[in-house]
Amino acid sequence: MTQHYPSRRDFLKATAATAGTLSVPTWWRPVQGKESANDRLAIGSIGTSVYVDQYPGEGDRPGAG
Amino acid sequence: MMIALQASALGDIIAVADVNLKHARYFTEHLDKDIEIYQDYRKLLDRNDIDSMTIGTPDHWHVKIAIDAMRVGKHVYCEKPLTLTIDEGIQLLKVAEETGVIFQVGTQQRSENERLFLKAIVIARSGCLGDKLHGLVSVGPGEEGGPFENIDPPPDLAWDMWLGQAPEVPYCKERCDFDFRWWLEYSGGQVTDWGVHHMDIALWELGLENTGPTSIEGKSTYPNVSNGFNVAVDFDYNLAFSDGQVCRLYSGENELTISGDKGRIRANRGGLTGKPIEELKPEDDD
Repeated sequence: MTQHYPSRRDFLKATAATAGTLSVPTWWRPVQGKESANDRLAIGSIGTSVYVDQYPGEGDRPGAG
Repeated sequence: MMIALQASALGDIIAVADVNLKHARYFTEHLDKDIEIYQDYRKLLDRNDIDSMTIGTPDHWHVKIAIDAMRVGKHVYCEKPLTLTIDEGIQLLKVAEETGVIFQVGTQQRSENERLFLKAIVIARSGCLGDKLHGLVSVGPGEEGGPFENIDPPPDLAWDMWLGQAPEVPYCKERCDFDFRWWLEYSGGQVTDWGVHHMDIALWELGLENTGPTSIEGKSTYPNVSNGFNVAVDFDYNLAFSDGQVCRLYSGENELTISGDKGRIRANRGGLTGKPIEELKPEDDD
C-alpha cells in the first residue's frame, strides 16, 4: 500500500490551481435547457448521507446534527 | 438524505453520486424516481443538464467537491460543517467569488423546528435580555470507541475514493457511514456536528453572524486508542471577538443559552424556555 499523506491544505491548493487552468469561466456556460428563470432546477445529489449499513431500516440516523 | 429530499421540493433530482452504490440505490428507491446513479461524482459534474448540486458527503470531501462543482458552473447547496480548516474556507470563498454561482451552506436549523431558533434570535436582538449578552453553547460529548477491526471493504464501496485526500488506511466500517464524524481525519466530532448548528444561532443572537472569533482558548480531552475514534470527548472553549464579546462552547447538555443583564433564554430542538418567553403575548408568535 502506498504511503503518501498529503496535507489537506496542499491537496486543496493543488485542486484549486488545477481547476483554475482547466475550467471554463461560468459566463461562457449557458445553463442548458432553461427557457425561464422560473423553470424547475435540475439537481444532482453528491453523497446521500444514507447509513443503511449501520442503521438498517432507517437510512438517516435519527438525532444527527 | 434529508437535504436532497428537501431540495426535491424545489427542483428535480435527476442524478446521484455516492461512492457506496448500495447507498445510492437506497436513495433512488426512496425517492421513487428514475435517477441516474454514479459512483464517481466527477461524471455527474460532466452533465450539462444539471443546474445545481447538493453535497451531503462526509465532511472531508465538502470543499473539494464544492470547488469542482462551482468551477463547472453548478450552483451549490452544501451541508454543514462546510469546512474543517480556515484555509479551506478561504479557498472556497475565492472560487465562489470568481465563478459567481450561488453557493449556500446548509445551516438549516435556522429555519427548522417551528422557527423556534428564529424566535430566539429575535428576542435576543430585541434588547429585552439587556445589552451585555453572553452566549453559552453546549453539545454532547464526543463518542469513544476502538480499537476497531480492519476488514475488506464491501463490494459496493469505492474505499479509496471515500478516503479522498485523507490518509490511506485499511477499511474498517467504523470509519465511514455515520461514524466518520468521530475521526479527526474526516470531521471534528461534536464541535463540527452539533456545535456548528448551535454556534451559528448563538452568533446570530449576539449580532456576530458576519464575523468570526479573533482568538479561541480552551482545553480538550482526546482518547488514545489505536485505530479508534480520536475526536475530543470533553472540551471547553472560549471564543473571543473583536468587540469584546465571548461565547463559550463546551461539552455537556445539548442546548444554547443567551444571557443578558435583564434576562436569559435557553433553546434546543426540544423547545425555547426562559422568562422572556413566558412573557410573550400570543400575537408575538406571528
